[in-house]
Amino acid sequence: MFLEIMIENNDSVTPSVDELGEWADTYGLTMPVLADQDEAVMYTYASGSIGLPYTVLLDRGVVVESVGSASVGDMDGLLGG
Amino acid sequence: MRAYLPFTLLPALGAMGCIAQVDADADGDQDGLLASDEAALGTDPGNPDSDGDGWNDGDEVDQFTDPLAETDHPYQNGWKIDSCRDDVEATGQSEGEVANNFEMLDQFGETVKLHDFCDQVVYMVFAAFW
Repeated sequence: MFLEIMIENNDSVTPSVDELGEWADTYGLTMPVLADQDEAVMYTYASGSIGLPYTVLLDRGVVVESVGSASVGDMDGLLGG
Repeated sequence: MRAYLPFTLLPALGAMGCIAQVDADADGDQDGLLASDEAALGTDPGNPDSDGDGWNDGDEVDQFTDPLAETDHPYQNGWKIDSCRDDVEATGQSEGEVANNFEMLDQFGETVKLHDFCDQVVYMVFAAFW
């Protein structure tokens, strides 16, 4: 499962539901496109200065596998692909 | 006339008996759950959507959401919900730990919960519009 989590809109504040919808439509995204209110969720994983995109990979059972720079290839590894 | 009375009463009594009896193997409200299942769950056997959230009781049971909670229902875009969702015991956010649940609004205005995907590999990408 991919989760696209938007921390800020173009005005550098948390995106609205309408803005998430426009983003999903623009890029044809069918996965969840989520708003991280005040970046609170990201900073439960991250600390200090971070770069975007910031990624978190979870194995089955919601086990944190990799934080910060996981790639799609790492996901394939967990999926056995 | 008196001789015919039992013959006229019997079918009527039989029909009354059928009305009073609830058939445990029937699905009167056609929500995919038998009356016996609805009795066990506490859902309304005469209402296909017991909690009034727009999802029928059978679909909610199939997708592991609560048919008696109006705010809990399957995702409209069909994202799969896992049966372990209520059994996850979070330990922390570091590598190797079981991550805390979160709730975030999605592009449809629905609340997405991380633990709904507890039996899937989850790849989260944090990004910004700019």
